[in-house]
Amino acid sequence: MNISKENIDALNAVIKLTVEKEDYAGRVDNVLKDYRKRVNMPGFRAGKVPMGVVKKMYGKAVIADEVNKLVSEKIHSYIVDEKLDLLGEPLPSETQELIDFDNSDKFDFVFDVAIAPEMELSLSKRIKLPYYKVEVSEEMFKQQKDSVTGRFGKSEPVEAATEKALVKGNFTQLEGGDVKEGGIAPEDVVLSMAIIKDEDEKAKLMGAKANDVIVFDPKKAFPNDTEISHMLKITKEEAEALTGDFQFTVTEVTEFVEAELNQDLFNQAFGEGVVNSEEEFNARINEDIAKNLEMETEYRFSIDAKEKLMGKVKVDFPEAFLKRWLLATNRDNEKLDADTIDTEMPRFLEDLKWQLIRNNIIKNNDVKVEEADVIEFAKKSAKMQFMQYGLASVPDEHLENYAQEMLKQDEQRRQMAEGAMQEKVIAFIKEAVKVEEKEITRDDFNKLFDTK
Amino acid sequence: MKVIIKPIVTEKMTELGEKLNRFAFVVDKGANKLQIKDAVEELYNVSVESVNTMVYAGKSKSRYTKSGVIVGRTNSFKKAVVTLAEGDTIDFYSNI
Repeated sequence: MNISKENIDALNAVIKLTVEKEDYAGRVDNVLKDYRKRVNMPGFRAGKVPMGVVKKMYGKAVIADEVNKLVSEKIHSYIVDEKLDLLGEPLPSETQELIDFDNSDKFDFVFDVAIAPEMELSLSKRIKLPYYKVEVSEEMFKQQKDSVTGRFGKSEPVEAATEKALVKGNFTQLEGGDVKEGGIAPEDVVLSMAIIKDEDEKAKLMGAKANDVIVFDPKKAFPNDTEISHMLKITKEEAEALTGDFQFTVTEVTEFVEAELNQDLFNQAFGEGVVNSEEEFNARINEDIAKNLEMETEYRFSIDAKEKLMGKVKVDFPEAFLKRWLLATNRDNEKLDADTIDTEMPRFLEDLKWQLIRNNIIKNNDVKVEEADVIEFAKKSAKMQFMQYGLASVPDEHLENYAQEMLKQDEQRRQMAEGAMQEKVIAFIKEAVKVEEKEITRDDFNKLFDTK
Repeated sequence: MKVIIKPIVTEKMTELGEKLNRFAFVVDKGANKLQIKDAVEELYNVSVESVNTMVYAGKSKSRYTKSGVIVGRTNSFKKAVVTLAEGDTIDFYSNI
């Protein structure tokens, strides 16, 4: 066994490895012995097959297998022993000769590796980063309030149809002013006044009361065929070909009413007894907005920090190698061919650079993620998920259980650990650099994202 | 005189071959150990360390049939167990 490294340049190196017979003979024998016990061959009882025969049948395959294993083990331990900081994984070199397992018992392997570029990164108070505080505007407050009241609103029957009303009734197809025999006649159809496009048609329905009979052309009222096909319970093709008027008999007119600001709503929205008065309700809404905004601010800060640090650090990458590596690792992925990789390369390099910076920060500053951090992060993302379903206040123990459940899956766990790490790094950066707080309006804040 | 008549291929001998590097042959009754050694060395291109020989007596076999009892004898033969020098081996399965 002979292993050595040759540097080609600062970023590329070649690891050469020679495997001789003594290196693998013992392992091969062990495997063959194991095979011998299990192999079934006509003419022999199980376990009584002569070694020579087993060797002849499986010997080459086992040697290839074991040599392969041995090589990857050795390469790995070599990398660990020499403390090589590699990008990607070692790849068989292009100059690698074909290994002849049949005739030779000494094998040479050549691997290309890419060495992670050295980088100097010093975080100091001299680096300034903006931290935006978004002002809560009247409009945002109202929006949030409406969303809460709207969520718990309900439909109530009203006298006459207005702009916002929902009209329920039965359709009957007309032909030359009379009811068409065997025509399309769906019952209990709900029309929303808000989506009627044509003003004239809308005027016909406006002010409709129960038991009114209205004649109008759905084709004109709803220019969208999907809507019509859904409404009249016909196929889209039929809807496309549809012409003429329909008679619509109104059975019920309802209107969506937003919930009133009272204790019932408070209880429904935030849990029993949490919010008790309108002031508390307002405060709570403000708080929710602030919480949402804070998340966005943090996100913005992480982007800014990333950009700033990326700009500060200049590194070169062994691009040719990375391309080869990406191609090799994604061989099964048909979407990823050489061309896509070419176009994706700059983005991939950016990511890689950020990863390197992150690792650098982690290593130099001893940032650690502990079990508690991961759980905390999992809880947080669980809470976000619940919030997406509209469950604003989930009991803590419930969250805890959910988070634990999430962490039981390896894939999720990795993601959570990654997320927690990211958060810690950002927090560390925030500590290390000078943070300038800036007040900013919502619109300006949004513009920050647009320009990128 | 043809010394080696045939190799003995049995489970027992496979085991001996793998553990002790010994291989057995049925040999001519008149051959002595030296002759057997020379014959094996020449035939298989190996070096022989030692030869043990034994003569198996033929067994009498009888069978009852419709037309009476048939009595006969199996052949008597000489068996030689050859120990090879380390590193040498004989592959009786080379033709499969």
